[in-house]
Amino acid sequence: MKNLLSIAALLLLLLAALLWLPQPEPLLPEAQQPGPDMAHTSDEGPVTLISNVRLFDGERWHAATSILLRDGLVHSIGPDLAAPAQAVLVDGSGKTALPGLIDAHVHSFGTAQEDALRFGITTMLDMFRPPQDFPRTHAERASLQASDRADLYSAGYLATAAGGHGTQYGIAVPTLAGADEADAWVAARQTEGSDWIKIVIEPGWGQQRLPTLDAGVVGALIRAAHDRDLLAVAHVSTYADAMMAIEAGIDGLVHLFADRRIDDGFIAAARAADIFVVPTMPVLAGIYGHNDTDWMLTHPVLGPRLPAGQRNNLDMRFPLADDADTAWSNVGANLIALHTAGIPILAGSDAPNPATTYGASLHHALRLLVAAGLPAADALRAASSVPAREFGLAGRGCLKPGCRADLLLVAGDPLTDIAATAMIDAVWKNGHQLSFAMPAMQPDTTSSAAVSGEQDLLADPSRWMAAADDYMGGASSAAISWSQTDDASSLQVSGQLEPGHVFPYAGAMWFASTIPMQPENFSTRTHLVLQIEGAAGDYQALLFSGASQASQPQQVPIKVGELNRIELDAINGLELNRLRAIGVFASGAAREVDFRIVQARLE
Amino acid sequence: MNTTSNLQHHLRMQARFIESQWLNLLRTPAYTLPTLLFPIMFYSFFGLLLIPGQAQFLLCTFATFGCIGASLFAFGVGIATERAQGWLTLLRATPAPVSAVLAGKGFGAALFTAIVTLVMAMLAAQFGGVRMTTVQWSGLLLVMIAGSVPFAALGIGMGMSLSPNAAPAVLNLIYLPLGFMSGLWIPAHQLPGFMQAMANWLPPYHVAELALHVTGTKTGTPLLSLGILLTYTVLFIGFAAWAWRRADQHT
Repeated sequence: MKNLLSIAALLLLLLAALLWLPQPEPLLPEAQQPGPDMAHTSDEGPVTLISNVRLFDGERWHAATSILLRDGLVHSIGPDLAAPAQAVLVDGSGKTALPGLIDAHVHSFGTAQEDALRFGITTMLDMFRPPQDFPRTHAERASLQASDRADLYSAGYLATAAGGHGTQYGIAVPTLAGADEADAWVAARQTEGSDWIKIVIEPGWGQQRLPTLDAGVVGALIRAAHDRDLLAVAHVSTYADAMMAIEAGIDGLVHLFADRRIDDGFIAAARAADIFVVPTMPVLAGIYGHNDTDWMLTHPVLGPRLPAGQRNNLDMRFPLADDADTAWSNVGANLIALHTAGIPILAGSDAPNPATTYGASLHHALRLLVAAGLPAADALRAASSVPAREFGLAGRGCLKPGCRADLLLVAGDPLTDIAATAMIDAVWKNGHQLSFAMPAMQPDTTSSAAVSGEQDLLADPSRWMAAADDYMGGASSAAISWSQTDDASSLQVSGQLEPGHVFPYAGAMWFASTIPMQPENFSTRTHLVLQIEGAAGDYQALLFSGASQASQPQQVPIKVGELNRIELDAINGLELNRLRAIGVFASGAAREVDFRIVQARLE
Repeated sequence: MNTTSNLQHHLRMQARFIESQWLNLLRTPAYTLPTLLFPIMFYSFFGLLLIPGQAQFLLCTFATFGCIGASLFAFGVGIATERAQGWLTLLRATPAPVSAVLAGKGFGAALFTAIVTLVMAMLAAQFGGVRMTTVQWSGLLLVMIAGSVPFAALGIGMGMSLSPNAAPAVLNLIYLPLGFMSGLWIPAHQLPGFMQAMANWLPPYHVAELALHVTGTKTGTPLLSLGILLTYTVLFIGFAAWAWRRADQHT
């Protein structure tokens, strides 16, 4: 009997454990507390009047007008709107109000939605991500509550062949083997909550050949999508594949091909099929060697809004494509040919691919569109009313009565200088002004750094572990060994960086606690000192911290052969009171990895 | 003896065997603790430390790994040992029904499965940031317990066919490669193509698939997985029955 009782006790304990297991967060974020400058007139949120402002309503320009935001929507627009009692008054002189911008090609991972909103991108059209959190993203975008995240629409999983483009990122993509599977495949996406269907037609690039879907499967997918009232868009990178997609009935192309110039036959086909095109200029500029992204890092408004992870993304580079100059001139010529022919152009960044990042890269896209010859007004339409129309997003990409109160106020006039879109003065999401805290720019405290808090990370070899992207499905590998001199030990890392993972890395991890990935409080430390010796190349420190182990790590580039003093306070998003691990990795291009960590200290 | 008291007798016997299995586990910590800790340790290393961001996916696969091990070894090694000691033969001479012997073993395996799954789940929640509804957490546990049935049958068959010395080695030779090739350590879609093709035919892969579906980690319909697992269950039960009868004839 005693035994039966102890069995029952254990079963109860297991039941208690089951009930203890945590639930998902509520679907919607709690309404934010309004800032001190935000008057509160009703439960629906603030009422805001922006007066004496130049305004782009998504299609047309209004000189010196005013706009009233109420209940999360644009209430009215007119030259002399009376200010309701308790309304927040914003003087718009010298400024332009733009509809919250739409990035028509992203892949939303991690903090994408927060990142994008800091730059005035209030809606993102995602062209491939796993669908697991669609209930949350769908609820968010239906809400008019205060939010610090851009709204997301998504294709969900992309349609590709087994082993084809899109399967290399470590995401289990349901692939297609034949046209007979198309209907069930599209039905499954619709059930998961996909907003449209994205089809990959990609035979490979450079020397790499990839399995891809043929015209039969593409046609069947498009028909299945249309039967279910879904749009079908295609990833294509060649003229021939674009023609194939158009003949199969595609609604839009989400890249612009560069292998040859568009001719009259293509224009006629594109017009007859009534397609739109998302040229994804920032990522194409990166592939074809026109990858000046540094201006964003030093930009007075964009720069401070870019945390280390986003900066690192902008610093990453694709391997340069063959014949890049010809290809890039084809991109420009094709863009103008399409635009002249009246084919709708949508602005998109393709973040977070190398040389792009969420939010900032859409401002880059607008500049590139204008640089290629698009009129500024059309570039702005390409990031507002045109994507809203093509993707059927009511109340977005517009500033008219009844539209969402998603907008940004910028200094200057983007119609005369497109660069003004980046001079962001304020962003409103659902009528709530986004409070953006500029990361504190602190004076260099090198000379007065407290020695008492110093900790030599190399002192305890048991805290270190080799780590590479092979665990994430990549092909890189790493191994570590220790060498001891009289007064110090150093950590030797050897391995191989191979392409395969989105972010190839190989190196070593130091854990903050004796229990790996357990958070520890390091809030008294101000600097991470790292010195590595080895071959030249890209090296990164990855700092893991925060409430969840799954949080995106912060990335800091480190220089080989010199002492790197990394100021921890300046790393946006790092939670020193919950530091989990620090990784020291070689990253970037494929190469043999052989470096030594000779100093690693927290001061 | 009427049927009611016959049933009561059966139930009482089963309770006694469950009790004795419980004592068996308590008194052999050298077996119990490593069996429990091995998959949990594996999950901590691979699922939480080395592959950040995939805690939920790997929770499903490593829990599968743990539950398969628990049933294969509880039945396989347990029965091989007891058979060699003559314990099973002795039992046949007593009024104890075969069902009671199996109920005891089944209870032990289910208990191990529950402990391994829940400890992993707690680690995943605490250190991997995994959040699921109570229905999904419970679903994972139920899939693990139900999913271990075919492996219990396989274990019985192996236990009746192998000597106690050979059983642990042979079972490990089946268990570890089967786990790896089914994508329980590294997700199947990250394995080379030919291994992915093989994984599609292996039963642990489909237990993990069911777990991935019930936890919402993967979407789509798991009917194919269910069908393949049922087929394997029938096959393994057939194998267990054949091995049992064959061993009976030899004693």
